[in-house]
Amino acid sequence: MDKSTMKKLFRSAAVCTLSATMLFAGSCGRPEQKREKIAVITKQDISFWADVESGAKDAGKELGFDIIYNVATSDNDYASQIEFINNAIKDDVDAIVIAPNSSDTELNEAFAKAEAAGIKLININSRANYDGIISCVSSSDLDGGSVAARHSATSVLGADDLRAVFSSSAENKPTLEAVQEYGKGAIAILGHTAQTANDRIKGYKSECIEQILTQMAADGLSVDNGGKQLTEEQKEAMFQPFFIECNRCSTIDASYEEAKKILTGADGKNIRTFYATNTNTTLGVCKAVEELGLSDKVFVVGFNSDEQEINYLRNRVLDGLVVQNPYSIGYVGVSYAKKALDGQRLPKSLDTGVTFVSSDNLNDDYVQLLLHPDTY
Amino acid sequence: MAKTNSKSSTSTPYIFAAILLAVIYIINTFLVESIYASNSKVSKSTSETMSAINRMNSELEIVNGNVLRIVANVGDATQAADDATLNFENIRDAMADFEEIEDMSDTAKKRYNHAKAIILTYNEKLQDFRNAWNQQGKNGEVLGREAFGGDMKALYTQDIYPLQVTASEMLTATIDIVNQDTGKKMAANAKRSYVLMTMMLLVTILGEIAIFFIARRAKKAKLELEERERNLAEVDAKLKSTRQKASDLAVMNVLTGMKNRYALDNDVSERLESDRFNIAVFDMDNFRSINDTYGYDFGDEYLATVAEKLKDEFGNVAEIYNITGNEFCFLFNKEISESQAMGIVQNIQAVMSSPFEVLNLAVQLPCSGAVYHYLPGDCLNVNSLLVKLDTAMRSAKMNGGNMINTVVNI
Repeated sequence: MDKSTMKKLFRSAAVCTLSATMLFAGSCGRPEQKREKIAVITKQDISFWADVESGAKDAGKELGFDIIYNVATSDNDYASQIEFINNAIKDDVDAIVIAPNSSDTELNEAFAKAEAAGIKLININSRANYDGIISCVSSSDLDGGSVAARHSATSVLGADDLRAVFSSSAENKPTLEAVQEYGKGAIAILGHTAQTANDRIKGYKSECIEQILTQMAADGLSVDNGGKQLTEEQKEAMFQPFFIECNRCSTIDASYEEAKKILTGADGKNIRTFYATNTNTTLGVCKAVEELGLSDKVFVVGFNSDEQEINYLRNRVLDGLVVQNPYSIGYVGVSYAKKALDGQRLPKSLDTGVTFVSSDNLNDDYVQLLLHPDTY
Repeated sequence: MAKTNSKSSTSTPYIFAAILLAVIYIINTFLVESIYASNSKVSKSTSETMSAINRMNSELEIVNGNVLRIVANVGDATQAADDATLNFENIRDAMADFEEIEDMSDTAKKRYNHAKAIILTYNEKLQDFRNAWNQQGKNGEVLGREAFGGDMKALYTQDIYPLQVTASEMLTATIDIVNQDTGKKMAANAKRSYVLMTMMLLVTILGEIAIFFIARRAKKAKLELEERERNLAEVDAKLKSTRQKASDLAVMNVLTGMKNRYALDNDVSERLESDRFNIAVFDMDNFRSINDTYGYDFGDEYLATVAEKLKDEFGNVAEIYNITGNEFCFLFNKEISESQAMGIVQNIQAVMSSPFEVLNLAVQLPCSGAVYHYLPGDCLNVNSLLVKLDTAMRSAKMNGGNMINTVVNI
């Protein structure tokens, strides 16, 4: 084989190999897509928000987003959240999913900057007072409170008790003393400092009052209002003696001190139910009830699903928990952010619901899914 | 035998090329089959997955519709609850189908498990609702809506609606993940197909190159074989020529180019028993004087000249042999009669005795001869035949030479 033939041969082979390589490379290679980023900002470093983080990160992984997660120091720390929003703008994120530590306007300036930068805004857990929020994924706090009341069986009084409470006063209106004396004690409520506590308390009280009224109607008792239906305000005023509202607390220790003060104070005589509106207040109440040896006497209802709360539930210090679906809140929050980026229309709000967890249903599949979303 | 071997060695590369082509064809067929099987598998799996999950989704939407009918107090609530129960049965079937599908990613499984847990809880809630609805009042009547205090809004918004929306969200997320997984599988499959097709191309290219080399090698081998055959033919021809020459030299006088004594032996031996023929011998008288006078080279040249002349003059009537130095033997053709032979021998003597110009010298020598009208069986062999002729010729020389004797049979 002479030299020129060899050259031709190798040239042909090289062309064929190059063509094959180009065919392979051309078909396999794809222009690298820039991954979109979503900032997720939550309220404070407790297990509830860890589950929200877990849901958000799972959604990010599944939907192809980088999740930048930040958490504030407490549920009224909006200053940190403003900083996180500004950092997210600098990081050129595509959307911000935030559980605002303010239901008012403190975060609005930062929101406006983000919106101006073309960033989509989604709220989770609670809604901020800003028009640019596309959607809010949360559990209804009113319904959460209502569910807590519906399952607080000891809140319901019998006909004789109710008759005694109402007849003990000259104006046929219940008083705290009458409730303490004849109504098996009052219902103590310990709210946390964030806006969500207001609705949780409102929902709780409203449902308790409705249940008492339903019971009274069933027992043939009636409230004298000149033959008129009671307004909501009248109902609240009339049944106010059934409830003892404590000072709002944000930490476990403060909640413990407040609960202890109520349980041992004059107003706290014969408290039959203690309702706490978030994790820290629930843990504080449980600690006080356990310490005072009132576990059998006081029906404690709390919120959320921290491991310590579950332990109190197992130990019968805690009787029930209103468990939200933080994993779904985080997951759907990021999923909604993606839909917003895709140009889809979203509902103004989405209720992920609450579930009442007691020792009776603690081991149900769905409850286990809510409590341990990562390991399910 | 050698030719068969050479044919076999020439065809071996072509057989090898044919086998190579068959192997390439089999490999490519296998690769195509692999691509087809892989595509079919992905397609089947995708179809089954989407079918199951879409059934779940559509049945769930029907359940949601029925629940709304109950809550809104539209139509027959008991029928709607029964329908919802059937819808959940269909959802369970779809779930069973979905769970049988292999190659589901962990992500899809996790999201599906979330959706499943929520859907099953939703079903339990509806069953609780159904049981509560069917409770009997004090008079044995079905309580229905009254079982919920006449207002089902709280039940719906707090217990059912969140399950509806989260179930839908998780199911939609599962669909999205399955779609993504399908996309990834398709992309991986496409990549695999391209890899396999590239392999097919490379196999074909390499095969073509191999066949090209085989063909070149075969061609080269064929050319080499032809060259070898040609060389062999040349060697063979040379050998034949050499053999011929050797053979010729054995029966030919180198000096005169005439057949020699051995040739005469070969030509006549067979005829001694059966043929009659005329034969004569001639010899220069006193030829030795030429060698002595002019040298052997001259003598040789002289003989060659005489021989050439004799061939010219008598080559057509007789085969002429130079049987010894200057002795020539004439074996007359069969058609030459005795009388004609006698005439020709006279002419031979005249020619041989005529002057010849050799190396610019005119030389003339007389010659003597003998003629023999041979009859079958006269002699046992050529030797005795020549003895008879030589005796007769010597007799002529003894008698002064320059004459012709006839061999007389006794």
